This record gives sequence, structure tokens and C-alpha cells, in this order.
Amino acid sequence: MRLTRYIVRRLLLLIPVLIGVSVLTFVLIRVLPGDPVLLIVPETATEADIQQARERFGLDRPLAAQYLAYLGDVLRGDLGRSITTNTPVAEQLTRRVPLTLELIVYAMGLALVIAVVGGIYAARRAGRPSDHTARVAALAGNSLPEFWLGLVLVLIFYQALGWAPPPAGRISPLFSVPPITGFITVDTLLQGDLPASFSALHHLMLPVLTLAIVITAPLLRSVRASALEVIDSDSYRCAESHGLKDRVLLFAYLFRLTLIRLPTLAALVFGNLLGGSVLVEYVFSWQGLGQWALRGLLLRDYPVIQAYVLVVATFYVLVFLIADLLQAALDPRVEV
Amino acid sequence: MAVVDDLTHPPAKRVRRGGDGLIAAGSLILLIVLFGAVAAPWLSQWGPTEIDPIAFLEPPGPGHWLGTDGNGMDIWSRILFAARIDLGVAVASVALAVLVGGTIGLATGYAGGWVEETTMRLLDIVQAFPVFILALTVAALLGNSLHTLILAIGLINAPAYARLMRAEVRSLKSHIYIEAAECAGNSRLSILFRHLLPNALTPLLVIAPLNCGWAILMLAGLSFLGLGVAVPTAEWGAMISTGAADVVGGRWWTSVFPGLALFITVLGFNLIGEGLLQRTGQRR
Repeated sequence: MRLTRYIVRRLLLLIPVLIGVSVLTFVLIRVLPGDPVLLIVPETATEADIQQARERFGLDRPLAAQYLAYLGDVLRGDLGRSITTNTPVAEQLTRRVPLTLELIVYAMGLALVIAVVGGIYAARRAGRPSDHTARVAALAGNSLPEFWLGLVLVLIFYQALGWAPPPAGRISPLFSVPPITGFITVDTLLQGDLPASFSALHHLMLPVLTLAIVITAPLLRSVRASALEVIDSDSYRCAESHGLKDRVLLFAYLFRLTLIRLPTLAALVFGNLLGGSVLVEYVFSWQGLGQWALRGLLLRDYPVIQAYVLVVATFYVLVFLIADLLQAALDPRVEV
Repeated sequence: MAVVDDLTHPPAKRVRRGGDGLIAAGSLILLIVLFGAVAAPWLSQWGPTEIDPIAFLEPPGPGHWLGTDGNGMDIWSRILFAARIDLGVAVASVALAVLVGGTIGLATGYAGGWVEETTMRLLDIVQAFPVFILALTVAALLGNSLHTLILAIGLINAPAYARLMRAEVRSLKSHIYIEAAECAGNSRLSILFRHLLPNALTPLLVIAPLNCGWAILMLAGLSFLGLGVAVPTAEWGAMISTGAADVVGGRWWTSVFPGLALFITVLGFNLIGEGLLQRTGQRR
């Protein structure tokens, strides 16, 4: 019961953030030079035609009136229609969000495994060569431009070795996957289409690896630091000097205590991934949320940009909520 | 207790704040990059946008050490000249961020009350914003030039510095030496700038190098997407972007070399930043 109340309270806090973010977006994109209406009317359009198109999208009204109308629509679940493609934004979102989510969830999973195993391994060998290697790797990973890393991986694994598919999309064009959940690896399995499933995983390989390498660095560093703190703590030293078996020490003490610190940073990294996936999407022609927003921005497609910012901000807040709940579950001292 | 501690902690475990080696390595890297940037005209026989009409997409060789791109421009020369832009934008934008963010943090932290509260909530909103949208918006608002990019990247970073400065000022404000300065009849401005600022500035400067590395990645990322410097200006991210089309044809040198330069430079900044964090005991 207390848990439900906590969750509800946190979700209510989402409202002011979303209002603030949406006002800022709304104003910022409208003061941008560039007029979406001029991009969709034909070259021969007269001043009256342009005015008419502007009225159709409500762009002739005062800013405040436009915002209130938009807010009303959003509250009714209507995110508007794209100005440039004239398709409902919500429909585009349901197609694009799973593509990007799939990418970042796999990348995050891989990064977490590497960071936890590597970080604890390095901390147990602090000061030795394997520890230095891990630290240098983390520093290097932090310095890598992900779009360049993606290109280099394409050069090696597609161009030179031929192990990876060409960096053009989500699945081989030979397969057609009717969407159920939108997550292609899940949909192909649900439909029992194993070759398509394999193709989807095959196409995920390089972009996931690219993202994972970049985001592992900060996670690895943090895991190593908290594992070191645990190892230096009195309780751990006590357990150690009681002669507990190495395996018990590792899993019941070091592993558990180290993980307690992880959710907050992991949330920060994961929360930034949805908004930051655009570079990797661009390299691999992923056509996910990031590329959709980029195109929307370049064409000044107001409803698209507004929806994108709302989705990213909501995702960010939700990820932090989940992290706090996880933290409370892992650490009995934390109360929600 | 101290004796017991010495027994249980062999000398190797004693707190030794390292970081000097990292700072030295990072400085060396940056000095080399800086030298390349300054001496660019003498280190290469080609100009950064000079076209060699008989060498399009030529692989690395004696004529063009690192090859040429699809426009017949010399990659080595472009990498050197690009260092001027990338280093310049990074340092200038971080300086701007420290200046703007630091001032906001200093003023609001000292003022307190609703001014502080309102400013911090506004910064919350700015920070919840997708970075690329923010960068592009600022860039598009003010026209697509180097100054704009510096402004965009600088302003995105400013909230972090404002937060840091505010936290520092708040903790310093209650110190007895500030009270003493107030009692001695110093003006508010003199307390802010002569007594609070010098003491509160250190943490901002410690994270500045890490931030420079991030700023270069940001600039290169924007250029990679076509939102940064205008073609054919030599900039690492823009060069990688042009080279990306050649990758599928197996012509690796147009994107790999500029990316290496970018990576090594960011690594230089990160080494210094990491070293500083270790020196100040914030990382081990």
C-alpha cells in the first residue's frame, strides 16, 4: 500500500516536469527560423494558399492559444498529425519507439553484465595489471565517439570479415514481420519464424555492440569503485577473517553490496540512451525514434518534435522511478 | 588503533593519491595535438580545403600520407587544421559554460530563497531536455556558425556548473570566515568575488577538462549529423561524416584517421580529468 502511494506520488511529480518541458519545446521550436508550412505547399502556392495551410494546422493563432489547444489534445491522448507526412504522430511513435527500445535494452543488458563482472574482477585485483587494463579500457571507452566506433566495427565485421550484415536497417529485406509487439526479436519468436529471428539478432549485433562499448565505461568504473569500498569495509573484512569460503564472500557479500550502488548510475546512463541513440541509429540506418526526431527537426515538423521530447522526458523520469524501486528492493535500509 | 590499522593494511594499501602519471600523459597528448594545430601549415604541403584534381579517394601513400577524400582533399592536412576548430570550440565553450554557469550558481547560491529555488527548477527543465534538440535549437536560432556552436555547446553545459557552484557557495556561506568578512563591513560584491569565488572555483575547474572532451564529442556528433560546421570546413566529425559513405566501398582512410585524431584528443582531456579527480581524492 505504501509502495503504491509512493509510485503514485512520483508519477504525479511527472506532471510539472512534462508541462515545463513541453512549454519550453513549444516556444523554442516556434522561434526557430524556418517554416514547416513553406516546406509542404507547392512552389506555385499563393499567399492565400499558404495562409490556408497555416490555418489548417492552427499555426495562425497566438502562441498561448496554440499551446492550450495542444495541451488539451495531448490530455485526450491525441498527439496530433505530422505536418510533413500528414500521418498521426501516435501511430509513428508506436512503430518507432520499440525499434529504439529494443536496441538500447540489449545494449544496456550487455553493458551491465560486462561492467558488473569486469568491475568486481578488477576491484578484487586492485593495483595489479588486470585492474589497470580495466581502468585504461574504461577511460578509452569514455573517449570514443560512438558514431566513429560504429563505422569502424562496420569496416571490420562487415567489410573485412563479412560476419555482420550491411548497416542498413533492422532485418534482412527478405523477411516481412507483421508487428505484434513491435519488438522484432520478440515478434519473430512469437510467430515461430526462426530464420527471421536470427536475421534480426544478426542486424542487432553491431549497433548493440557499439552502444554497449560506449556505455560500459562509466558503469564499469562505478562498479569497480563501489566494489573497492565494500572490500575495504569493516563488515567485509570481518567476514573475510572469519574464513568464509571465497564463493560465499563473492556472491553473498561483494556482489550484493556492490549492486546496491548501481541502479542510480544505471538509470542515468539508460535514461540518456533514448535521447542519445540518434548517432548510432544514423550509422546503421535504424529508422528508430532518434532518426525520426532528427528528420522532424530538420523539417521543423512541430508535432513530431513535441511528441519526441515528451516521450524522452517521460522515459527519463520513469527510468529513475524504476531505479529507485530497485534500489529499495536491493537495499533493506532504503525505504520508499 | 593506528597500529592495528598499519598491521591490517600493508603499506601498498595506504592512501596514495596518484593521478600525476595520468595528467602527464594527457598533457603530452594535448601538447602534441596543439602543436599539430599551430604548425598545421608547415606540417602539410596541402591546404585544408585545397583540391588535388588528380587524386580522388586515393589511399594513403607518398603523395598524400593519409590519402585523400572524395573531393580530392588531403586527409592529413585536414586533420591538422581541424584540430584548430575542435580544440578551439571545446575550450571556448567550456570557458563559456564555467563563466555563465558559475555566475548563475554564485549569484543564486548566495541570494538563496525563491531566486535560488526558481533558478534551480528552470535548470531542471533545461537538463531534462534531449541534448541534440537543445543544441540544434540554439544553433538554428542564431545561425550556423562557429560562434553559434560554441554558444550552443557552452549553454548546454552551463547548468551543471551552476549546480556545482551553488552547492559549493551554500556550503561556504556558513563558514566563519565569511561571517567575519561580513562583520568587517565588506560589501556584498566584495564578499562574492573576493571571498567566495576563489574558494568555490576549484571543483568547477577540476571537471573542466573532462567537459572539454565531452564538448569535442558533442561538436563532432553535431557535425556528423550535418548540424555542425558547414562543409567543407575541416572538422573531425564532419570529416567522419563525409567518410562514412566510403566505408561500404572499403575506403577506410577517409573516416578512420579523423576518428583516431578525435579519439586521441578526447582521451588526452579525459586522462587529465581523471588524473585531477584522483589528485583531489574524488576517484581512486
